[in-house]
Amino acid sequence: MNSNEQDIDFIERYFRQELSPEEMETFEYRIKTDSVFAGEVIAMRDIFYTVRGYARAGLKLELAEIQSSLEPTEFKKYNPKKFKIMKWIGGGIVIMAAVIGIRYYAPHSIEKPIKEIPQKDSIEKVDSIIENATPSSTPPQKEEILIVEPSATTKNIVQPDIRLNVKDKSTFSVKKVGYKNGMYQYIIKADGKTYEVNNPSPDLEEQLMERAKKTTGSTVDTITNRYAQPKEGVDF
Amino acid sequence: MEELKARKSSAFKQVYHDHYGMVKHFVLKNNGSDDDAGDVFQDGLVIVYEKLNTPGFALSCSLKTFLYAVCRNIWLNKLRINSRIPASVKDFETLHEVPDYDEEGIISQQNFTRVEKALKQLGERCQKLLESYYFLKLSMKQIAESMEYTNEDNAKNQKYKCLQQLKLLVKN
Repeated sequence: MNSNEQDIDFIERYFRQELSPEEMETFEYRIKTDSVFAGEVIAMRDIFYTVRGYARAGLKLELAEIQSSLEPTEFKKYNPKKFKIMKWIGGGIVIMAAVIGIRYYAPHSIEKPIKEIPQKDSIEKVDSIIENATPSSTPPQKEEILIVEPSATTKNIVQPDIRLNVKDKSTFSVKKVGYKNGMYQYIIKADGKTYEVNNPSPDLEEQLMERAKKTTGSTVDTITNRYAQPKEGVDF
Repeated sequence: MEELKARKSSAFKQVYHDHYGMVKHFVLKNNGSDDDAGDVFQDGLVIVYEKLNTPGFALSCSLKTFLYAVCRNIWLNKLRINSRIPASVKDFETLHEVPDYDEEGIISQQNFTRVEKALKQLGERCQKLLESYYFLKLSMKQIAESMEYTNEDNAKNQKYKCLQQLKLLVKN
C-alpha cells in the first residue's frame, strides 16, 4: 500500500468514525500541518457524503415506486380507537374492582351512599365515585374512621409469591386506592388478571413497588378520598 | 428482517402493508398531509434499512416500534424547522433516542452535484463497491464476500481504483 493509499484509508476511517482517540489527534495534527493531506480530506468528504446521499436517494426512489404501486387498500388500517376501547374496558374493570372493594371492605358509611355508578366508568372517575359516596355535608365521624384492628379486616386475595412471579415482560400496573377509614387497597393488573389486596404488609408493599418500578412505563397511581386519612402514600 | 436487509422489494411491500397506516395516522394528526406521510415513511425506511445493515447493530425493540420512533423523529424535526409543532406532540420529543441521518448541508449543493455527475459515469460495480463501504459501512471482508472478490485485499485494491477513477471524473 503506497502512502496515498494509506492516507485514503486513514481518511475513510475518519469519515466512518472508526479512528481511536490517538489516531484522531494525529488526524487533526496532520490537517493543520499538511496542506496536501487537508486537501485530500476535503475531496474525500465531498465523495463520502455524495455517495451516501446518492445511495439514499436511490433507495428512496425505489421505495416511492413501491409505494405508488400499492393500492391504498393494501395498507393495513391503523385503528387507534381499538386501543381506546381496550382502555375503556380496562378502566371499567378497575372501577368495578374498586367499587367491589368499597362495598366489601370499607366501612358501612361509605358503602351506602353510592347510588349510581356512571355508565362509562374510567379510572379518573373513581375519585368522583368516592366523593359521591361521602357527601360533603356529612363529614365522617371519628369512630367510623378508626380501625381498631386493621389486621382483622385485612384480606389478601393473592399470595405475594404468586403475584411476584409474574413474568418480567408482562403488563403490570398497580393502583392504590385510599379510603376514609385509613385503609387502602391495591388493585393490581398483571397478565390480564385483576387482583385486589387490602392493606398489605410493609414488606409486600415494598415488593410491589419494586416490581412496579421494574415494569417499563408502569406507575402506581394513588387515589384517595378527600375525607380519608390514608396512610400518606407511597410516592412512586 | 433478513429480506429487508437484503433490499428485497417484497420485504419493503410487507413493511408498507403492516406499518404505513400507523405512520400516516401520526403525520395526519400532526399537521401533515398524505404526501408528507409518504415522504416521512420513505425517509424512515431508508434509515431503518441503513441501520439494519450496520455491522454490530442489534434491534432492541420490534421493527414497528423502531420504525415508528424514527418516522416520528423525522416528522418532528420537519415540524420544528417549519415551527409547526402542535402542543400534543411536544411532550414526546425526547422519548426515544433514534438515529438522525440528516447530512444535508455538510457539503454544498454545487459540490454534491459535481460529484454526483461523476458518480453516475462510474461503472455499476464501482458504484456498488463505494456504496457498500460509505453508505452501508460494511467491512472490506463483508464486501469481498458479497461481491465475490477473491479476498479482502483484492476488494480493497478495487475500491482504491474506483476511487481514483471517480476523482478523475470529478476533476474533468
